[in-house]
Amino acid sequence: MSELPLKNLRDVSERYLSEWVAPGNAGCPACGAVLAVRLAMKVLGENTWGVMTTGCMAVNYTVPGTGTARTPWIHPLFGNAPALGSGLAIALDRRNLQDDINLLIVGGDGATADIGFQVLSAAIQRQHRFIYLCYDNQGYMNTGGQSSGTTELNAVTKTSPFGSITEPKRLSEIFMNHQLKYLATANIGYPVDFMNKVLKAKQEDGPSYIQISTPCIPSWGVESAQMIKVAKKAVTTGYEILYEYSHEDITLSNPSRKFRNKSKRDPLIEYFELQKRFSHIINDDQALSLMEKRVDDNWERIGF
Amino acid sequence: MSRERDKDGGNRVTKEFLSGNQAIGEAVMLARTESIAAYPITPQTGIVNHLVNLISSKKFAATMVHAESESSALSIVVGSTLGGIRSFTATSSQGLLMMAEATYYTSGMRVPLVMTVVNRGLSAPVTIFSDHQDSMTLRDNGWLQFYCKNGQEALDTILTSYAIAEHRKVLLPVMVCIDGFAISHRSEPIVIPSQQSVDEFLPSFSPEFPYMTLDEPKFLGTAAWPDYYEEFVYLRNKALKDSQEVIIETCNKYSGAIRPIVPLISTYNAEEAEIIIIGIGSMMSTLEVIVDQLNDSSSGSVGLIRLKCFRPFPAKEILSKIKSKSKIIVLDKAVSPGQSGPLFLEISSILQTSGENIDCYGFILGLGGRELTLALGKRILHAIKELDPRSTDSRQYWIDLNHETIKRWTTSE
Repeated sequence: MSELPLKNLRDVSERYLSEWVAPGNAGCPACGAVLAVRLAMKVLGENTWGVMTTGCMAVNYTVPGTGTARTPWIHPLFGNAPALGSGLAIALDRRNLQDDINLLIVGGDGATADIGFQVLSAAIQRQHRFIYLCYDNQGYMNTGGQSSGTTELNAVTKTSPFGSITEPKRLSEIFMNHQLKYLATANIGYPVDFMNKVLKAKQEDGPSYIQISTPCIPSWGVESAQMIKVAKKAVTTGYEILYEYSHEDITLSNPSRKFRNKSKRDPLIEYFELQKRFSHIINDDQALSLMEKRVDDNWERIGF
Repeated sequence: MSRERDKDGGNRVTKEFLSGNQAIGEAVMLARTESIAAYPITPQTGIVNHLVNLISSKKFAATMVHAESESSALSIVVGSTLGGIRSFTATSSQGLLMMAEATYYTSGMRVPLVMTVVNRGLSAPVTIFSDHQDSMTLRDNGWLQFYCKNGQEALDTILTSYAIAEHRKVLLPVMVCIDGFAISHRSEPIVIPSQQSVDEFLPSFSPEFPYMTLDEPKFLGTAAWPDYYEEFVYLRNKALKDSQEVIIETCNKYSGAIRPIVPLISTYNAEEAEIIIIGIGSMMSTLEVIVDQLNDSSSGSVGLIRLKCFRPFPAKEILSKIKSKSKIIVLDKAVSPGQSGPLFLEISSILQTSGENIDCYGFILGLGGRELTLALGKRILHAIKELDPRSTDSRQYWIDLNHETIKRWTTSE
């Protein structure tokens, strides 16, 4: 079994024939998060224990009669997944199974940035061996689309009907300041890049964190057929930067490389105009220029 | 501390001068627990400190996590138990309430682990001293609850609790409660059973329900809609009720093989007595001395029933001891505000359904560490002569109040 990086989608289909997330889950059509977990599980395979935090994905998997999981999973509480996962990691370690069984903890941005924030922070500090996958759709979408700690400035949610007025937490940068073996940001529009990141995390002997941006069809106000397009626009406009961080070293990932050069970026408005949650700023030059400035600041702050 | 135990192939019984907290640490080691997680809170910290000493001196090879909160401490040991190893945690007071959400999850997921609660009053106002409000507040969370009389009983109860929790008919978590300070910090000679006898009594961890397994993948912690949910709750309730048989069976086995242990209730002078005092925890040891003195000095004889097991509630066992008595006094170191003490509610409810015509009085006392004294014992026995058993006062009589303080702090005229 080769653990070399994947080159392209053909590589994916040749190497990973099996599906560990069965069809028939209760997710919305074109849900970015469902696809993210499915692709991650392709890389991790059947020898994986999973922890699925409360949120969209827990509901997708556990509504009676769906039977989506083909590998062992636990749905814990909303805020305790990294702690329960720590216990599983201890058990794997004590039973000498840590090299044979992967441990994947999946949480949405609410679980990661808000209710389970200190829990994940401590689990990383303890250096258990696990992969934490945060599917970031910038809100509490399972409860109908309320703001979370990662909701973008100006984004309309159920709890920010005129657009969010607070800066989102810079989650990946917060966890960069933890002692992770491996950290990466990913985007569901770039599956090969994402799967290679899961592959790297899998081979680490310690905690790793991957945050993947996954559009939410109903709460972002996006057409299902446009999900991948919206996701990609986040990268091609430079709004999202995909990178890896390990051993104190930060590397720009391939899909983002070209957009270090500002002139290569798509106009930022092309990202916003695909989503109803930003429709109120499309003609607001002041808001748009602030958003553009924030993109430039991000590139500068992260150091590319 | 001298450690002769491991000589002679671990078959030596020793006696050591230990606090209740240390005795619990010894029991956790004897049970060959593999995973421990805890967050510091007075008066539970002595357990954690003792376990750290045992681990760092290489006498005990458990993995210990110093968690970032009690909610996480319990969640970690839930994870390690589901992952297939024997696990332990301990807390007190606010810590138990911070775990509250996870405690219901633990029993709902049928996770067989053991937790010590070193009983302490709840804030506000903050106190570090003992009463039973913390564990009584969580009496409906689907755990078994034992209340110990002293450090020795705590050690024995930890060992039997693992056997009970892991029994295939039970598969539920067990809370072993000890009074803060009175038990946790008081040192006494403690008999420590031999490792060999404990190993024979308590086999290595292998619950019959495989939780996380690659051979038979399951999604644990699924949602249950109205067509399933009630049955889940029913089955957990049934397992808790049926655990009584397992408790008796396990304690009999332990009594035969290792040391005598009380399974459900113990009595003191209860056969002869006309008046029975029912209560929980270390104050019942104090009451034995008080009862001896009272029985010497007054005509009406007084006996005691101590509940060691509060969940499942040993209704039949209590009823069989109180039939034909004239009066029952229930002492509660906790209160359900606007109602009465939780233990009083349980006892008066079983009296109602039994048809026994016995006067039952409920006293609230000992909150936030206030001591039970001989003088207070006398006041209680005097008070029931004057109290109308059908009055509201008799259901929650606050016998030990300082009325000067109350006058000063009353907010309304």
